[in-house]
Amino acid sequence: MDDEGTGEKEDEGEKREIGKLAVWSVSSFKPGNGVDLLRDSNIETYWQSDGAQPHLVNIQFQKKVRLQQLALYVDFKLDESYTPNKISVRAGNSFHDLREIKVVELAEPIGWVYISLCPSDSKEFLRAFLVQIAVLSNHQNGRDTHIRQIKIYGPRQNTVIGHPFQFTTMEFSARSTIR
Amino acid sequence: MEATLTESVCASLRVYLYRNATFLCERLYADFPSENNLHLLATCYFRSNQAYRAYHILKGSKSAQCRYLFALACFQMDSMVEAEAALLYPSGAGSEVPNGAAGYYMLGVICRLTDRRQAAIGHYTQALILDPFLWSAYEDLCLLGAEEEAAGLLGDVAVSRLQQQQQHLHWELRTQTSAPAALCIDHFDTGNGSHSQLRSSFSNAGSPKHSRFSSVILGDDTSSCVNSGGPGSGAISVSGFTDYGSNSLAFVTPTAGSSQVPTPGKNMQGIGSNLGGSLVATTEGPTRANIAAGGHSQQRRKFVDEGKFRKVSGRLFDAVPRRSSRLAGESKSSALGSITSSGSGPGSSGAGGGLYTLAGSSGTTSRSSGNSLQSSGIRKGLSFGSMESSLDDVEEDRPGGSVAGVYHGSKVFQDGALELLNLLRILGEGFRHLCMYRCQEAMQAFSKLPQQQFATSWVLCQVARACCEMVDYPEAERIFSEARRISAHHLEGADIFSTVLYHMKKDVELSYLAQETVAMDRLSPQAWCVMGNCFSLQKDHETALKFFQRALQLDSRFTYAYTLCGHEYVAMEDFEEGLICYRNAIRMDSRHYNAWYGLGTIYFRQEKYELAEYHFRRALQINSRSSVLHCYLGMALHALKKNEEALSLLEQAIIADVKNPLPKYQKANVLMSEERYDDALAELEQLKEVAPRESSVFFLMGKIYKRLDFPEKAMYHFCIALDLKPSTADVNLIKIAIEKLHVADDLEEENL
Repeated sequence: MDDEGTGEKEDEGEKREIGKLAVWSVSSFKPGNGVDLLRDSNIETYWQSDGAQPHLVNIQFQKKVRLQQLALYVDFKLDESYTPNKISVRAGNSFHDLREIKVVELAEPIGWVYISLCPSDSKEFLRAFLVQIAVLSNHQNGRDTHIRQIKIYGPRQNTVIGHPFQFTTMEFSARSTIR
Repeated sequence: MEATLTESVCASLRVYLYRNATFLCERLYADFPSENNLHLLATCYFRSNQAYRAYHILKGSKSAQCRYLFALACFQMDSMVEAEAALLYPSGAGSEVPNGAAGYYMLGVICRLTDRRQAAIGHYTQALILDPFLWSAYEDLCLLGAEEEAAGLLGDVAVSRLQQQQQHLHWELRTQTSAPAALCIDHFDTGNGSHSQLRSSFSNAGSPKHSRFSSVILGDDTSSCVNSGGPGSGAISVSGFTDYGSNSLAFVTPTAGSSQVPTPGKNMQGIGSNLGGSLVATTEGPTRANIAAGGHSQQRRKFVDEGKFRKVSGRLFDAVPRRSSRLAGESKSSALGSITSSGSGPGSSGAGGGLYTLAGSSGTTSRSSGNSLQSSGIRKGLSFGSMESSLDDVEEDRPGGSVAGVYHGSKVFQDGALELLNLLRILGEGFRHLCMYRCQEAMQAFSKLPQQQFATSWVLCQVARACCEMVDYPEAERIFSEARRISAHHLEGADIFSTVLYHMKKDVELSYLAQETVAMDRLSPQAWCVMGNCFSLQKDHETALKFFQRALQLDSRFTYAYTLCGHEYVAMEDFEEGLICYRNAIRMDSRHYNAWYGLGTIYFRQEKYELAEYHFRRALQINSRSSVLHCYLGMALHALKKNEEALSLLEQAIIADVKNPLPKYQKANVLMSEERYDDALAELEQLKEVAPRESSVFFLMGKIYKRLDFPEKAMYHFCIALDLKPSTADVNLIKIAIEKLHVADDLEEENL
């Protein structure tokens, strides 16, 4: 069990937010605080669950994508007992073959929490159809949870085709594409 | 009252008081509904940017001028079919294109926009035959890729044609000296209401299309009026500088603001050829050109001093003003916009070109030549010197015999025309080479220009474009900066400049350029392209796309904006939309090789290699000198396993641009896949010399050494690759490679 709480915030140029390629769903929600508030780029609004634990957020892609990082915005000061405490990240091809890839324990977090999705023993990216975020427990043993925003990142496609690398020098990169 | 009203309308038009002109003209038309007045009214509407009103009132009118104006209105409203019908009415063999060269040019534009390439070429050629100074037609020919046709048109053929015209003119002249007092077109001449209408209508017709370039100025005052009827009374050219009353050469030139002064006495004495000298000014940098103000005798005198031309009355070709205004409008150096501001008249330095109005033969097929509106502006040239002296002669002769004066005038005109033709020829050659992507030749051609012509923003932008196509970005940047220094308001080349900066990854300069251009003109599509490029460099593709789409909203025929949208979609991995955008770009301009290239890259990514190959080949057909295109085609062929061909293409790529490292790298790749490891290593060694800090080179070498079973060397190279600080994703790749150093290549793991 790792605690990769804050993780690394990688350079913006290295990753792309690919949440828009996916269908998002939740296990339960309170009316007025549904799943769209997870994706509205507004940290003032939040999703509130309304059922039994564990609370689930499912991210389903149409095609197998490469995933790099997950980012959650939570705020202990505002949400207190609604703030998640233990989060399990699972991935797989469908709901029946999910495999837990990471468990994260949070301690009174305020702000963005980055969870790296790359398997820690290699530098490859995670490739999956479905990612599930399970909130196993909350702070102060709260029943329901608030999450204010979730973003999911994949690596950037290289602009130069047929070549795995980004060129580092100007001579190469200036001649590598036609704009 | 009709005449008074007409006069007032024309006067208002001349000083750009369009609301006034419209109102008065409506009164005029209400009382005297004639076709000429209708035309004048339509002109007023057109000038006030209300093309749709002109369209409605001109529907169904038959006269040549009305048809032409109607066609322009239809064009503005994007109704190509009607525009074409109007120009070619009555349809069939008997159709007569109004306004000769200008009409053909319009037809050419319509055909080009409706995708009839051959027809367009035919029309443009015809237009240029009628008027060799119709630069816009020439430009469009080059853009269509009709190289052979274009090449001939500015050559000696044109010269001989001009000479012929001259002869004809003389002959006319002599037979006309006895003609009754000419119809002076000067509108203050209360005699000929209709003429003045015609005149203003001509001046108008050209401007609407380019109203945004404020070519209005030019259109406005050019003195040309046509007498489309009268037997002996030929043209009436109206301007001239004269300070003697007898010759009423009222000179009307595109003046910034100075109204035309009623020339004292206006009778032309039925003289044939007419030399008009209207100065078109471009205000490029230090050489502020002058716009000769028509007018006051005092001004006139000064103009003469500054070497303006005297106009001899003569027959005018209708299209002349229009053409000149259009030319001005289309001039790349939008400095014309500043003509209005460049102060009027005398005193300002510089000289302009001359608006030559050539008396043509009677009837509609008059040719016109002489267009002073060289897009790059015409500066005081040598011709002025010679002109001046001949002008003086003319002056002297004047009291004596008008015919003799005319004769001198026409000679002067001819020299001027030849000179202009030479200038146009050089520019045309350069432009033609550039359109065919023969950049070296283009630069050589442009370097033959005299210094003051070269230092204009249009020319500099073309030269910089040539550098850009040759992938010499630092030089291109330097030249573009120079061009912007000279005239910061010239936005046509800004989009290419932004691409150069994008390639060079100079984000500070790029954002500065973006701010400047948008502040200069919020409605310019190029400015928004620059802004988009700026955001794209910051990897914010969604915002960049938004800006490119904004550019498209401003001008839905802006090819490059479509291509850039396509690039952004590809960066966001939305290939469907990318394909659509690239295809749109090609629809607009099938010679836009960037779009063909873009399509090729999308198919390559989707692993549809045959399609990729096809598209890269098309791009290469258009631009056969691009090393990058050769390289990509080579890569596509390699993916199709046609390694022989791939290698030869990569060789060509290397030869085309020695400094381009990519083909060498790809060649090494191909060789490696063919297991010619030593050759590959040799290539990479060479590459190391050229680009010693490129980590991908070392990475590839490491991989080769691993294949050759030299793990220590491989490790050494991988470490160097790591040291050179590639991007994080690549660091991962290298680390994986290091870890797998002792594992065979084919064992890969899937994550899930």
